[in-house]
Amino acid sequence: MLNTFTIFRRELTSYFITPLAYIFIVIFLATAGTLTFFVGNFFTRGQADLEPFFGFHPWLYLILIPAITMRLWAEERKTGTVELLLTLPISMTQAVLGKFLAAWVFAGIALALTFPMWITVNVLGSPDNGTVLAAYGGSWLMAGAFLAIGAAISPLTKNQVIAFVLTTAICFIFTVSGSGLVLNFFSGWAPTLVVDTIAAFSFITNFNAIARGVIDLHNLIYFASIIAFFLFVNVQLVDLKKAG
Amino acid sequence: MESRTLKSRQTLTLIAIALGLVLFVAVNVIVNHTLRAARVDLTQTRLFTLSEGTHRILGKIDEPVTIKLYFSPRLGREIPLYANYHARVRDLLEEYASLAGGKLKTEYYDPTPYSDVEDRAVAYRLQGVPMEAGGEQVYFGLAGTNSTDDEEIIPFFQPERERFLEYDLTKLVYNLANPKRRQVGLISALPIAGDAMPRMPGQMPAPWVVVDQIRQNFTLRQFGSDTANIPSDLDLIMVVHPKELSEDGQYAIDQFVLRGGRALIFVDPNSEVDAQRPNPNGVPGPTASDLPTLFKAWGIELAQDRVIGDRFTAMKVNAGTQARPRVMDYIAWMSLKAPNMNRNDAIAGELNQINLASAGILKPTEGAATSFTPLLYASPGAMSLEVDKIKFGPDPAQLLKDYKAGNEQLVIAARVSGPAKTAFPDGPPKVEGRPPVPDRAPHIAESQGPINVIVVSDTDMLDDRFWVSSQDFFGQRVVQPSASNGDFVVNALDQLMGGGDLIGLRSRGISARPFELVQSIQRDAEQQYRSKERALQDKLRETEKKLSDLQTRDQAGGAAILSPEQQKAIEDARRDIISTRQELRGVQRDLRQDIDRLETTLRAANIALVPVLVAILAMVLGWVRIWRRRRRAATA
Repeated sequence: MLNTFTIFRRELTSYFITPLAYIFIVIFLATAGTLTFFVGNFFTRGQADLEPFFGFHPWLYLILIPAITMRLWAEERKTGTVELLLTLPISMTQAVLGKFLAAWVFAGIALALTFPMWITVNVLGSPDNGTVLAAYGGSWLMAGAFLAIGAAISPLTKNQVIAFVLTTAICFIFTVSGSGLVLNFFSGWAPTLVVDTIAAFSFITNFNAIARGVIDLHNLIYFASIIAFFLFVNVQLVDLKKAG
Repeated sequence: MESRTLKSRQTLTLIAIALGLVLFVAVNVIVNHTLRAARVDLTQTRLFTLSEGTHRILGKIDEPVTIKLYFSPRLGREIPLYANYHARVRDLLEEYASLAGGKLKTEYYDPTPYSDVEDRAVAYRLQGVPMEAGGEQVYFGLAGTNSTDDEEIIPFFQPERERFLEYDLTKLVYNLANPKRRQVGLISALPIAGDAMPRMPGQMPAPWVVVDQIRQNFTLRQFGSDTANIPSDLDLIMVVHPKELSEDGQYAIDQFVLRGGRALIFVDPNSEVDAQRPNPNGVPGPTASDLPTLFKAWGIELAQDRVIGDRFTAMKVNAGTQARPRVMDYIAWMSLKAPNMNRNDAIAGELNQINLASAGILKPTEGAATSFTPLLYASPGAMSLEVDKIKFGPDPAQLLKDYKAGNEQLVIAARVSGPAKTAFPDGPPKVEGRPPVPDRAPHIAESQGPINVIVVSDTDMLDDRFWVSSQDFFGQRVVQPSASNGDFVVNALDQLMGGGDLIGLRSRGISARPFELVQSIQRDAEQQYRSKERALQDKLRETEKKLSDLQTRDQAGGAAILSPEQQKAIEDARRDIISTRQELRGVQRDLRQDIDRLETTLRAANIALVPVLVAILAMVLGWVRIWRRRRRAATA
């Protein structure tokens, strides 16, 4: 526990020492705002809710989160610090967990900095703040799922570009898996149970369900299990690479 | 040796990951099929939590009810939106079944093309939708039956109506569990239940949506305006726009109400729907309706030739042309919100918005024995307007300019109850040379118990265009209410007849949350600029008239050459017109300026503010770090 926290603190501080964190936050906030106002037509819509804002989150994460995770292990491997890290008296799970939590909290900070949107919508009208809260929670959970996938891919390669592209590709599949495009591919030959399962594994479907204002247990378990599974993969892969 | 251990390690890792994947999928599949109802509802109106009314209705089912859900998986595969919605409907049905304690059975069917199941779906009149032109049909509907073989259906679940899902399902269960439908009589001068004579050949006389909504809950029987006898097996009589109601008809209502029958009455000092109806004789008839004789007996009155103007609930209209729209408040059209409704009364207690057009003013008469409970009222500061001001081509800008706040509470709808005497103390009206009406019950002079009447001073609220938009979905009418007018009517009927469980359920779904700030800026700006605009327009008109006068005078004088003074006068007038027009355009632009400025500010705050602050912070921190490093290097 303490070890996890040590790694977590070291990682989180490292974000803010380099310009990476600031650039990420600036781009995330500016893009989210621009999309909300110019593409989502937040103002002309005239409705006091944050639908046009949250609707873009899966796509923003799809591009931006792999940029955080690509260096998570790839850099450590390149610079050789991974050996150093792993000679420390901490378990692999603790290292993986610490790194993931740091990235997740960092994403949370970026998300929290969108608070002017929440103030704006409260100034303009009287939104359902319960729904807004649920959507923020859902968005953060979804960010965690994106991060876990990216973290799992990261130790596979020393090349950050490859890590980025691979992560984006896999996250894209998870993002769109509820859409007709993907389902049609399976519906011809796979049994209904499989097709239903694939449909239920979509980031957008699960996120939208939460963003309506209801936190359903199965949506929570979905995101939690994605995070857990990919962190498990992460531990396995780092372990393997250490041996190799 | 080493490479072999690595290989086996790789295999082990792969196996571990594969096992993890299986576990991950299994957990989700199981959870998806079992834990569907565990949730925390964070929405303000608890949209996704079953209401008290549903609990009560499900707890009271005596005879078993069976619900059959038909869903084509193909629909869900092609359009995932429907798959999600199907899951939600199914969850909800399971919840219903568990709450009904065995009295509600659910069955699920997949109507594959050309199967018996599909035939049964068609027999229930469920809506089939072709996935491609001429292709196989898919279904997503529901049929409910009870032990006496009554049927209730939802032909197709529209995701747009998700907010009303609970209401639709509960109403269906309620109707099946309580098969004896209550009877409502309708006397209407407006074609509310469908036009008797279609005005366009081939056009179906569609009933108004409000009547559809009434029919979903009650059996509606129509009576003509000359009806002399209201059958006593009716539970309630609804009277709409009684402008030519015969003496006999009024007497029939009088007696019906005194005998304990309920009445819901819509009168109007100016029915805009009526005014717009093409008149067969070409002569515009009266558009007002009132029932002074009956109202007096019940202890109320409708203010003569007066309508309400309310700046605070005014709806927006386009007062310009199609090409150059000018949106402004029209004070005779009101959009009532919570502060304008009696929240202590179940009828309007849960409604969000009711739209009205040129509503009248109801008052209790002095010394009335009945009690007068306002249900809907205008804002404090609303004014009473002469009906002529709005009857023919009203000018919203002028109305706003002439606005004078009143200091009375102007009541639009009220419930009247208590003891009452007949409006016909001399007995049934006698008409020369006509035999007495058969089957008429003996005359009574006083109410047996308290009378129960609700009076509304607007008929336009029943008109579709004020509260609902409907679209055609493969021949089926899909209705999207923008206000709760229909719910108000059905609530009033339900309340008058004493059933209350469905009331809380209705209208929970309407959740328009407009930008109130923008609306108030708009209102203030309009107040400010309209008078200026008005003055400029007057000036423009005057100058134009002067110019045309000058020109015609010249032509009449026959002078071929204008004197320099005349020429100068014309030039001046022209210049004046141009500059006034420019000013006018400026004023019209100013109207939007405050709102545009607000939008720009908000954009800047949301897109740039925090990023700029973060960037500054980053630079400051970076600079501090460099400075520290240098100092350390210097001291070293």
